[in-house]
Amino acid sequence: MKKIIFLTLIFCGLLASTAGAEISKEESISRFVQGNLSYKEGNYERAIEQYEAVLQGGKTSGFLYFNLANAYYRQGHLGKAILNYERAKRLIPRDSDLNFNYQYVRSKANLFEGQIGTSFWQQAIEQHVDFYSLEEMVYALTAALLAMGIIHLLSLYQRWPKRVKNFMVGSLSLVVLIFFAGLVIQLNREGSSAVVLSKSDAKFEPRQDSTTHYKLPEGVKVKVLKKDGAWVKVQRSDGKLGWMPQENIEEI
Amino acid sequence: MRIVKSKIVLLLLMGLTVAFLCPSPAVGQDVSFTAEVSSNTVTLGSSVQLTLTVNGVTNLGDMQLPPLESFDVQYIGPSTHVSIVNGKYYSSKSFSYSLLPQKTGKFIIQPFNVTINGANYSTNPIELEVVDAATTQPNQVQPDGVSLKDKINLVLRVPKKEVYINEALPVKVMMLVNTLSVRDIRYPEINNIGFIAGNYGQPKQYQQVINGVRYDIVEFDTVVYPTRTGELMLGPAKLECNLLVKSTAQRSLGGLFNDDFFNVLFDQAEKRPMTLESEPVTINVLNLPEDGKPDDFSGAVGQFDFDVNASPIEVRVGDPITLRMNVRGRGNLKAIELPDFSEGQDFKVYKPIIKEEEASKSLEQVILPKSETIKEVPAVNFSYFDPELGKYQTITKGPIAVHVTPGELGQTYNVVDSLTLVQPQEEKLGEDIVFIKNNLGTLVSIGQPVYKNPIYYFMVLLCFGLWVWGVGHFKWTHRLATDKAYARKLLAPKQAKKDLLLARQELAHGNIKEFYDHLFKALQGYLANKFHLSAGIVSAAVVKERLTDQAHAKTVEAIGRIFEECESVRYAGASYSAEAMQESLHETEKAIDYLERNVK
Repeated sequence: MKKIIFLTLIFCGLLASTAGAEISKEESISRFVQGNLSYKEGNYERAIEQYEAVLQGGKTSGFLYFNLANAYYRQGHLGKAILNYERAKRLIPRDSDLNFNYQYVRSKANLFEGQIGTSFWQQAIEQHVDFYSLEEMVYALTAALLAMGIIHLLSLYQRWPKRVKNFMVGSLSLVVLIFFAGLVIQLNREGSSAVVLSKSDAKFEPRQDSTTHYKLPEGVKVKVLKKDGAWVKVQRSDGKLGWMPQENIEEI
Repeated sequence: MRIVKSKIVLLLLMGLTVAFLCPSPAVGQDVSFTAEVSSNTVTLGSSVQLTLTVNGVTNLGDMQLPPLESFDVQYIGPSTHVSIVNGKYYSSKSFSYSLLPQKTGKFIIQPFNVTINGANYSTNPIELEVVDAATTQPNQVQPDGVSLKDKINLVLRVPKKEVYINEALPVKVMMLVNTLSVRDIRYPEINNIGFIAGNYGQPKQYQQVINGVRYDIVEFDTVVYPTRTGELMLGPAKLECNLLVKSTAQRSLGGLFNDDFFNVLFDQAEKRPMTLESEPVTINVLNLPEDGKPDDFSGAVGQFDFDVNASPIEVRVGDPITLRMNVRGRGNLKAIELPDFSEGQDFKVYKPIIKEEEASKSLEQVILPKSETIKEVPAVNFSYFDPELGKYQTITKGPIAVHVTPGELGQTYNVVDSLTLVQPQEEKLGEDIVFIKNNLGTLVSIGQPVYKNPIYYFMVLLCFGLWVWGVGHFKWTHRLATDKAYARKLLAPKQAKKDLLLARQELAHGNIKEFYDHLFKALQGYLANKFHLSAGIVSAAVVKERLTDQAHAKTVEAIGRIFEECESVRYAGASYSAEAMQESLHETEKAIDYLERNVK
């Protein structure tokens, strides 16, 4: 018994020490509201300070990233705005205001990455992946697996006909497969993605005097492959590789 | 049949490159030079892999092919192969290139030559047929000379080629794609010297049949305004995109995964960067006519509507009247100057505030009547040039009747609040981002997603454990219900334990007969359950038959002795001391324990 109490105390202590680094929910709300007031007054710099303070306090939300992105856009930092819209999309992917602003700011940054010749499968997969956040995918996958386990046990104990059991478990297996595939694609897509904060040259080598391979406009999304001091190796959507200064890029 | 001229320059270049590097052939292996393509037939819009292999040499530098006529060449990279067969060392180096055909037809890729250590080597010519993907059926006739441009093209369109200076000229940049897949389409750039270009709207995507061919179209709309007269060149427009090319190169995963679905999932298709270029368009820009030009014309060109109103219209002397003017229509609103209401004897005038929206421009100006004799705000004219009609138009609004009453004694003008009269500035309205959110929504901790939380994994493992337990429990209960022998074997020690407990109680009370009855029942019952036998037939002889292994001899002997002791008491009225009974009980427990542990 003493051991249990001792372990519980240690666990609580650990929790408290972790919680100590974060700001409280009330303070987060207070700073968010102050940020909104500053935004409404047109003081975008102050609004950004307040929103960033919540983030530095270890707390975040989709709406916080949305407002922060709006404030950056108002200040003319399109790269930072797109970065924060991308972050918001990971938390609230179906928010219509967010999707409108994201597309609008991207068009302001002259970023349009349309595509032609997408098959039915491709469209279905992309819609499925875009519809859920990563966390929702995990929840859905877990819930489907749990339901599959429960249905399987029920079918055993309740002695369901084999046909019914196979249909139920088979349907749930399909759901599991769909969400698992979606999760894998989303993890692959989101893994080490970054947004270019200011117009940069992607060079062949991590040196200032190296030859420029291609240009990266502000706000464009790239994959970070490697870091070497103050340089990062990035990959553009067409697969082209290049080195750019780390200060000009921020991971989503 | 057309011939691809593999240029002498190319051969020399390759020869020089190889010769310069002074490669040394592998010992015991002849040097040879071969070329092969991944497929001799390729559809337009797909790529074919060309591999040049030098056998017997590995220390070669990269070989870059210059452009081949009718093919877009992209260098993939080198690969080296080394093997030892029957003690002989073989080596080769291959250089791979992706060839994207630009038109249909039959082609011969002429031999490639290299010079290695002074000796010349050449490949065989390769035949390659490029067919149109739309006509790959055997009974269909191949149309001659279908080019990639027929499949993907950029078009710059303007509604007319003669415009007036400053007139809005709508421009459409259309990307036409037929049966190909394109990704990462960027905004086009138009060479527009002599024009002011507006921003692009959201691109439109649709399908249209042009000359019997269905095209996927991405349309970018913008407006340009010519800023000088004469013949101006608009374009060409350039657009960057990636063509998704199906490669005919061998895949290690085989045909099962070589389809669109898996290409999408695992991003297997080759993305080939392309820059599309449209034809330029010549625009004749006319100067505005001098005939009929109104004196107040300020450069507005287009079709406009003009409106003026004033409020309030019942004021005292010195009170502010807000005069609002609005111009809406098609034209370069940026270049429009709204009529100026200048200060005169009747009104004191403040500087106007100008607002510009997407299709309208408005002006707000505060004016203060200086005298009660003023009956109206004078009429305001707005003049513009209508390019459709080819003449100047003037819209006159007003005068607007006002009723001015005398002010308080000594008052000349009201002091207008400085906040209501901000400095004139152009405020941009129209399309904009959606306003911020008022609530914080669901607050989460950064860097602690559920899938990285140990509690989540613990819960998942717990659920998995419960499921395993559930399945195991079902299987166990199911076996108990259906497998009688298993059930009896499983219950045997439990039943024996109960009987032995009763025997122990009888021993404590000194009841000899009852003690041996329970002891016999415990042992007999246990053995019957253990070996799935009827209790009546269990005897020392039966046990001996079942346990033939010498290892069990001691236990079999003990069981026989206990059975004998039980029968002598139960049927012959023999009597034993308490120590002997205790010993018998102990031996029975030992025998049951031994059988549980050692006999399955």
